[in-house]
Amino acid sequence: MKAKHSDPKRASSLPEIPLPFLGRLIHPLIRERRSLAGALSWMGLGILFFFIFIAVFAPLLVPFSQTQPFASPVLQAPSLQHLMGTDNVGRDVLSRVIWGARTSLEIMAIGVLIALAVGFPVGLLSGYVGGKIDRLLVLIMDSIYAFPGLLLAALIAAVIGRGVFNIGIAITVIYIPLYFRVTRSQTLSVREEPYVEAARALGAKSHTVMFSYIAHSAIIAIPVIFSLSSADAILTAAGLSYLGLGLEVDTPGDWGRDLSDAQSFIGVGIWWMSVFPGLMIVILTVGLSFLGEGLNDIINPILRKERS
Amino acid sequence: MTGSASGLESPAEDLLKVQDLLVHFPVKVPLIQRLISREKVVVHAVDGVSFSLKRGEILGLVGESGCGKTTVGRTIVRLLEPTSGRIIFEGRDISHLSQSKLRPLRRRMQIIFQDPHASLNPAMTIGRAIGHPLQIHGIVRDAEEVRQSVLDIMREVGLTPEDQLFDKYPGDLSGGQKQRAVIARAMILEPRLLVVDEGVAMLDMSVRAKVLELILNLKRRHGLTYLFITHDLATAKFLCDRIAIMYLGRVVELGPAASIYAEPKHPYTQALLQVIPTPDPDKRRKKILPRGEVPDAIHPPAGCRFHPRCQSVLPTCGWEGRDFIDLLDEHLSTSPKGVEDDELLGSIGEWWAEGFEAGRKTDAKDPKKLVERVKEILAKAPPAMAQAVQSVEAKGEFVIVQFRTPDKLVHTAVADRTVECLLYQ
Ligand SMILES: Nc1ncnc2c1ncn2[C@@H]1O[C@H](COP(=O)(O)OP(=O)(O)OP(=O)(O)O)[C@@H](O)[C@H]1O
Ligand SMILES: [Mg+2]
Repeated sequence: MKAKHSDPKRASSLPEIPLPFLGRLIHPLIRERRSLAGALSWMGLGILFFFIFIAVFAPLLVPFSQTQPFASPVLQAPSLQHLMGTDNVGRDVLSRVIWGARTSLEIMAIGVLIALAVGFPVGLLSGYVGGKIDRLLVLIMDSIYAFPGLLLAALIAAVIGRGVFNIGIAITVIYIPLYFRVTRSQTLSVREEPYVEAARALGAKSHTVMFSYIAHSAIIAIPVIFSLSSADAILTAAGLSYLGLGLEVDTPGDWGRDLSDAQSFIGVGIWWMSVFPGLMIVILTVGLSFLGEGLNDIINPILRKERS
Repeated sequence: MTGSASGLESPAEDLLKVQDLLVHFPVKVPLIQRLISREKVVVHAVDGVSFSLKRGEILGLVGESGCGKTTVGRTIVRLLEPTSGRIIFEGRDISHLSQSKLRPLRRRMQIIFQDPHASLNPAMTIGRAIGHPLQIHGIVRDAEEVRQSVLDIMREVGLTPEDQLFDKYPGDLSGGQKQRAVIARAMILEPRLLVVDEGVAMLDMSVRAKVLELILNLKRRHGLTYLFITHDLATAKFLCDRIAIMYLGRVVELGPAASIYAEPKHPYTQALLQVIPTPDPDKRRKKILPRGEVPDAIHPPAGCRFHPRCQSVLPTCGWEGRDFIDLLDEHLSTSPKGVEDDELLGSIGEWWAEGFEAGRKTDAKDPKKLVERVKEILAKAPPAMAQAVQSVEAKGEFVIVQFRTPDKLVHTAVADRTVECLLYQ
């Protein structure tokens, strides 16, 4: 009767997958570090943390805290004093690039976190309750999703105005449907699991079922979406600035606008104004995409295994 | 309506009473088909089931796959709402109670599903999963108290060493341990009624006996009442006081386990019981139940649902048009085909069946020949079926086989049990 481990062999051969959220992600990441997907993820994470480091410590890192125009001679080629040269109004390009990391990450964080904070619970609710509410929400989200992202953000930015926070909000709207869709489809597939019915049989209320029994499964797909939408958000923010719809002119760093300003100088051989901010955009978005794709390849097998 | 002879016990003793329970599931039908036929297509998963459970007894619900056992279990604990009929739990009609009104009742009726692994949230530790019901119902709020209750119940169901297993995830446990955890999770609410749906079916043989023993121990210690759902007759015999045999949504025989095993009355029960010794499930069916699969529950057979497969079948059991089509199909595919047969009978697709009629449109100048041929085929049919045919006639350009209407089935008290079979009426 008091059998200890009735079948110890089977118990130990089962993978340690169903740990809570972070454990479920970090263990496979460590296990898979030698595979292509693992290597991509780690590279992406490295790049992301590098930029986060720069953004956080920007005030300490910038060689010239003065970013006002004409603080230095204009259009200087890279030198020991100005590692990335100076721009047409005499600002140190390196300093602007460093401040730019901060603004980009701020916009990205605002945009993507709000999208997550709205899209995830709404997707959960929609998938769980189903019926008319679900159909209505799907309709709304699909119409937003069908709109070209940059155009939508530009429209919203034109209405609510410039600034880091406003651009973050404008960008959020693009990504809410993404989080909504992914969460909803995860919810739909988990909703019919016996443990969800078991929770109802125990007398759990709907919100308990949703948050204690479904959310953990739905959330596993989020890191992938988070990385990919972050990459996209960086590009969209830069695009808005490039179009002149982005940040205020006196923002200490703005990769998109710098790129746009540098445009007319490329023809006359002044490459440093455009290459450095452009490179930052590319490295950060590529890093985030690596992370997203890598995580996707790692998480999908886990999801499949948990389902079976 | 069927007379529910099983409701004879005095109501004071009944923990649960189920009367004429019907659970139909709508079937998704393509729009075009819905427009053409107004008929509502439903799965008759449970189609008139009555029984009652005395306090402290174990009632086995036994039947082949798909006969509606799980649906009965889920409906009793109101995870489903019955299409009609009544469920009376502790003297209260809960058939259509709202989920919020049911919530407090759920402390006293619990269900355990077949698959212990799938019944546990993979992201919840065992300890938290078992303790969660206490928090759901606000019975115990203090975390340390919850932990103590969980450790106690874990010890009671033999989930030891309990303090080590407490923080494990379901994935770390064996099948038997998981089922003990599921039982503990239900038992922590101290229910009066426990529905156990194939509770040991997925466990290894060695573990199975131990879990069954646990189920009996819990009953003794807590005065539990069980509805034990299983397709395994040996398990039911070991465990149950009374047994209800189900076939296609209906209870065909219900009575004390010992006497049903000693002397089964219903031909279906007889067929099932002959099956016990054979270990291979596929062989069983072919050997004992020679004719065909379990019919589908969307269009259950008329009369007695078992009649197409029954060995003791009577002419009055419910023979109908599609039984003739089945016969014809068998005839066409087994007997060597003459050219004449081909021409006369046509392909099986040209025949239709509706209710107690089957027929075919003929272009033959002499439909009499077809009538004669059909009569010849019927002569080779099982006698009960042949006798059930009222007429084979040519009507205009149609040839129609008409069966008699079946006798009405009622639950009949036979010795110490009730049986639904014309043999005993
Ligand atoms: N939610 C549902 N929707 C539609 N049909 C259903 C649903 N649940 C069950 N059914 C159908 O109802 C019938 C009875 O199913 P049920 O699961 O109750 O049978 P069972 O006796 O428990 O079978 P098993 O031994 O395989 O578990 C089956 O034909 C099944 O396909
Ligand atoms: Mg079942």
